[in-house]
This record gives sequence, structure tokens and C-alpha cells, in this order.
Amino acid sequence: MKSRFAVAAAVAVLTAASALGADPSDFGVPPPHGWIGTTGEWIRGVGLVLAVLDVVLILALWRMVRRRGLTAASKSMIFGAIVVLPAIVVFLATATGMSESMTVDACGDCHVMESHVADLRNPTSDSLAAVHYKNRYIQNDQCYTCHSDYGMFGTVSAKLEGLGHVYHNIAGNYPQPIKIRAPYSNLRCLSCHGGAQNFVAKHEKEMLPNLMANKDSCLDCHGPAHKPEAAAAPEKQALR
Amino acid sequence: MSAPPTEHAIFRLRLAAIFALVAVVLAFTLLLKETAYLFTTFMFLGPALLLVAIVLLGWNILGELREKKVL
Repeated sequence: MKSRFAVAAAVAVLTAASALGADPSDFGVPPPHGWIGTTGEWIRGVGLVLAVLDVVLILALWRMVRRRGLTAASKSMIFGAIVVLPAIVVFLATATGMSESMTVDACGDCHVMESHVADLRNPTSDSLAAVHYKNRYIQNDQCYTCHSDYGMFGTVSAKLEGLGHVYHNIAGNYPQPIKIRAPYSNLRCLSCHGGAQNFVAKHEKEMLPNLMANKDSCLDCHGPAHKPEAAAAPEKQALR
Repeated sequence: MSAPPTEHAIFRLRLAAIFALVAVVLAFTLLLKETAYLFTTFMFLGPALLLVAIVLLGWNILGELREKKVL
């Protein structure tokens, strides 16, 4: 009986997660043998199941308390329904939200970014962003990887900036064409390319101090980073 | 035999349930489909509502413990 329940619970969690279109075979590559989903899919699935369970529990308790008043059993269930389950669900939703807000789709949510995302996904574009995207130099969260600082507070500062972006998108008070707020730091490029053999082979050692100090920009030779104006149509391109 | 809960205690309990319910519904929506607006709304409201719900419930628990002279 217990094993049946466990199987049913696992099926419910996986069904809830897979219904969201999180598909590991996006590129036609079959999942490895024994694939049971990513941590993100499990977090999302468990969160959805627990959220539904909690809503049902709260509504049932509300009815029970109205009919019979507060009993010892209902008190302990109230603690679970108002503290334990919601805390878990809110934690899982926060983790999912943080993770999902790093995706290219999340950046493309704002109308003003559509042409940037279209250029990024355009297989014929030769902008630096598109080259990184189509060659899978960065596997996931391409906007976020290049536009967030590294270290402990990189994520926090990126989220705070994102909050500002949401505000400007609602208020519509951004200048067009949009521009990056501060000059792009070469350190973001060098944190990946800095130690690579093809970087070392193609760049003189004397160039490094100026690049590190941002006196020269990587984009001077390798730009432009984006070509939003050249993006033919804002609709999402085939390479996803 | 403990005294029945006061009207205030019941009101706080109902409020806590509603706040927790709203937080969970917001979380459910975010888990289902994330948008920038929904994520921002959730980050402002979700944990805050849950915190208020926990405080309200804690208030009731403390009141009951005091009434029973446990505290």
C-alpha cells in the first residue's frame, strides 16, 4: 500500500513538472539512461503538489473549524497548513523564481528587449551575443551569464537591477534605443576567456593590463555585442 | 478544560489562513508559469504575507499558552 502511494506521489510530481515543457531533449538529444529529471524540475513539481495540498488543507480546515470549533487535531493541522507547508512552498517558489528569472525568456519578457533577444537567437546574426548563443559557448541563461557580476553579491545586484528594469518597463520611462547603464567590464569576458588556450595564443601579454583596467574594450575588436536594429522580426527564432 | 477562543483569536486565525492561502496561490502561479511581473509581485508579497500569517498564528499560540499559565 505504501509503495503504491510512493509510486503515485512520484508520478504526480513528475507529471506536474513535465507539463511545464521543461524538456531536456530540446535539441533532439535523448536523455541519459535512468534520467529522472533535473533538480529544478523536481523542485517545481514538489512545489506544485505541496501548494495544491496546502490549499485543499486550508479550505478543509476552514470548514472544519466553522462546524466543530477548534479541536486539538485541528490545531496541529492548522500549524502545518499555515506555517510548515506554506514555508516549504514559498521557499521552493523563490528558488524556482530566482532560477527562472535568469533565463533568456525572462529577459525577453519586456517589450524593449525583444529585438535584443531576437538578434541573440538569430542564426544568421554575427553579433557577439548571437555567436555565443548559436555556438553554445554558454549553455544556459545567456543574458544573465554575461550581464551579471560574479562573486557572492553578483546575483543579488543583478536581481536589484532587474527590479529597476521592471519598474522602467511599467513606467515606460526608458530612453530608446536602450543603452547599457555602465561601460561593459572586460572582466566578465575574461572570467571565461582569460585562461583559454586560444585566447592566450591570439592575444599579446602586453594587452592584458589595459584590458583588465578596462582602458581597452574587448568590444573594440570583437563587437558589436548586439545588433537589435538588424533583427528582422521580434518573434522568437528557430534556434531555442 | 480550556476556554473557547475569543472572537479576536478566531479573527486572527482566519486572517492568518487567508494570508497563507494568498502566499501559496502566488507561489503556485509562479511555479506554474513565471513572468517578470509575477516574480516581482511574489517576491514582495509572498514571504511578507507568510511572515504576517506566522506572526498572527504565533500571537494566538502565545495567548493560549498564557491563558493556560504555561508561560
